[in-house]
Amino acid sequence: MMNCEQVAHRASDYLERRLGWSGRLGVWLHLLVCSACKTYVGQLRLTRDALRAMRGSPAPEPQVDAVMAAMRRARDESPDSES
Amino acid sequence: MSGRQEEFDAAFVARLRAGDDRAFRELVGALHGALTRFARAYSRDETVVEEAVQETWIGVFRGIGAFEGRAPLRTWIFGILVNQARKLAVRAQRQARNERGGPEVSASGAGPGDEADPLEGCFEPDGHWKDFPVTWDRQDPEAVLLTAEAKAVIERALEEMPESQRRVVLLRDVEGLSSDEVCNILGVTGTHERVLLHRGRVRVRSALDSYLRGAVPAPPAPRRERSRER
Repeated sequence: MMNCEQVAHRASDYLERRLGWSGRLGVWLHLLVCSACKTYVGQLRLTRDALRAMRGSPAPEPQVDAVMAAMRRARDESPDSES
Repeated sequence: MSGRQEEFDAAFVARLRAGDDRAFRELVGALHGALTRFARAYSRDETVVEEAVQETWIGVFRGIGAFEGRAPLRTWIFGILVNQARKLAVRAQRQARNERGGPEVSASGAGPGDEADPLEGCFEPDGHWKDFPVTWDRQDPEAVLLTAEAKAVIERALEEMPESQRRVVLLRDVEGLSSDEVCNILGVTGTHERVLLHRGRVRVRSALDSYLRGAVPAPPAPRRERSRER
């Protein structure tokens, strides 16, 4: 059976379903009997979900205006622009 | 493995290709912050970061006519940013080296500590935990992790982790790109991407663990360095 160190190193692959069947079974069996690793893998899952929620909010209007102005300058300077 | 559903559909891309200003505004509004955050994984100099993002937008504007849609729009744009950021970071490092002297550092490869395993030293020789992970005994950790304070902890952890790990975590977990897309954009193997993603997540979990168990307070907003005025 896998030990805690082996499970901890495979935790992300386990969450992403990137382990082969024997690796997945090995982690699953370990988690059945090890509350510490069950806690760890659960926390890593929460971490991944929290990271997924970090996508930024829309940029402020002045920032968008500045980028649009730079793009318009690039368009005016570009002789092969289609616009 | 697929990422989340792309929010920019073919009709939106067609508007961009037609030069629709409103579509460009929408695109810039949606992605400017994400691009800026990602560019910071190549340089700590805000001038370089801003220039890389600006050049990326100009590249998008000039190149959208040739965009074939083989990759999602978001992935294509991040690919442009990686090229710009690498180029500008190398240039900035070369300038700094010429001005101050000292060794040149690669902007694309691994830097010092990038391969460090954050789980090293956590286990006994027999493979058991030295310190058992402790349950986050908040009533609802999922909700707590969405608070501004927890997000500040995550931002700090992202800023402090090795850049190669940060790039992968940002693209995979935050931006939702697929593993294949990340490998293509960053030029890393699938195996390396898996290692970097896991190590980055382990670092963020560790930071959240310290915060949720009250060991460290939420950090203040980071200070950004700027080499020169634009």
